[in-house]
Amino acid sequence: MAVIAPTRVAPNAGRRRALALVSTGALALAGLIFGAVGLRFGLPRVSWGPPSRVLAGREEAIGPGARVALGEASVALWRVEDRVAALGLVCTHLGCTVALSDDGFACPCHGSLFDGRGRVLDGPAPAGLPWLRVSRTPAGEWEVDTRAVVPEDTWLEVRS
Amino acid sequence: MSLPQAREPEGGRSAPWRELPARIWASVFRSPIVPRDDLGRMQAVGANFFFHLHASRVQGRSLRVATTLGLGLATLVLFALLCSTGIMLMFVYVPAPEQAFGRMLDLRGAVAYGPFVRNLHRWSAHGMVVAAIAHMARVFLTGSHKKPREFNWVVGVGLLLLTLALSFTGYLLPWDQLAYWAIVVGTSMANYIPGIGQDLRRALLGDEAVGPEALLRFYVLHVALLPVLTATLVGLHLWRVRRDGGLARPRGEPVGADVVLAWPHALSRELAVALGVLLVLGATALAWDAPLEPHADPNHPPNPAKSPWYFLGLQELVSHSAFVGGVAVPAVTLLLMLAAPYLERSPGGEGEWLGRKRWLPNAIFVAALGAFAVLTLVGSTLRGANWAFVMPW
Repeated sequence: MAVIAPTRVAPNAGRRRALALVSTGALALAGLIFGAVGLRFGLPRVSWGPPSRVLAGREEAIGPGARVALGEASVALWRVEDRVAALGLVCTHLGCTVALSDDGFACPCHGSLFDGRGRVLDGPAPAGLPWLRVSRTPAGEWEVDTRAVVPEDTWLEVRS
Repeated sequence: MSLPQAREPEGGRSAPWRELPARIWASVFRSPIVPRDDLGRMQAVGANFFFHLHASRVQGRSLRVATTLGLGLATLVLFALLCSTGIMLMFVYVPAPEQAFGRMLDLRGAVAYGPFVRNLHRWSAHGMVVAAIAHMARVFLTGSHKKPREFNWVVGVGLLLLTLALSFTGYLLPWDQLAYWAIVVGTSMANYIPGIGQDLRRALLGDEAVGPEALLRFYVLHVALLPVLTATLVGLHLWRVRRDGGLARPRGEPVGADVVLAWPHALSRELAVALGVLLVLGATALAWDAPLEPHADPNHPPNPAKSPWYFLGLQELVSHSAFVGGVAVPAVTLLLMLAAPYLERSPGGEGEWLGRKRWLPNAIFVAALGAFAVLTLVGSTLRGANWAFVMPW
């Protein structure tokens, strides 16, 4: 059995303890700063996602009374006589894309049901589907901005 | 305890090369590979890096099948199997939306034993979730989480969460429909967490919407951060079992009455559990192919869009309310699980299946597990298109 030297209390123990405290604190501070840097590092500053504005087909492609879900964007165009509106199809519950049903929209993930104007009929959705700004490009196509939510009943007159 | 030394060569200076193999052998294996006496058997465990997690002597009752059912070890074997098959899959997989799904198809057709390795990985992942839950049930119902083992239970809860997180990040990687819509729904649930929800979602996705950044992040979590955390916690978990004097045993049972050597008694049983797990998984991977849905389509979720079975209960809950089902119920359940060993303060029932003194905690635990099972069954069999109620026949 080796003889272990007993831990001696040095005469300047107070100073040593203070030094130990300061250096441990410095290490902890470094850890905190590094952790904060790591957290901020993980939060994106730039969005690389798809553009928010999507083209929604030729003007004449959507006739009066038509309600069309666009295959390549989660957006539906709705034309009533000479007015056109766009509804976002991303469910307000947990983000699934809702599908057109007979007279409204239905979500395949958690069963939310919406009427044709996007209002919640049933299911867990906390809010209705958003109405989106629709405009006409100079080339004669519908363009919908999926981030530009407009009040319900915002229509665009179709020039005939 | 002195270890056997390499024997000094007798005519050492004249022919050192003759003794060289024996010296090298003795320097690597410090005790005989097959020990002949009990001292050697104890050394075989104590002096071996890989075995020293064991005590060299264990309680005989710890080795009986009914004591543990081998569930903790089965979970660990599955984790090892997942690490090795996972590293193999990493050689084939590319975490980018343009490539990920194609790499899955390569694995089917262009890589030798590709389907087998992927099947093993997928079924082991399911198996690990089952084994971890079963192990937790065994620990609770035998009162093995009680003083002084409270904190090891907390570590175990952490390991269960890591197991689920590994499964979740894993099934996103094929970038099929299941993957895509799981990521969409799972990260949208974060939105309902008060305060930090939005930032948490953005941190997980690396963007505003699900895309390449999200796939890369889930990949790094799946192959680096989460496995390293899991391995570390597994080490802590096992080490604490030893520090707490092995498995919980009934009160009043004399210590040392029923002690056997870890070699060969514990090791042979562990070998049997490991072989059993490998056999079951190998057979499963040969018999059933892991599912792969069509390529992810961001505009058309499958109908119904269902999560894997272990999240179906959660999906059933959030189909009633995203906040209650996705945040409140899981948070309260987690808090109760973490607090369980500290709430249950009266002694008794340790190391004893369904101890009569512990009927109330056991009843609560079984009820919670039953609720989980019922929700899972409802989600899996009673929900059809648009998540509407359907009859299973």
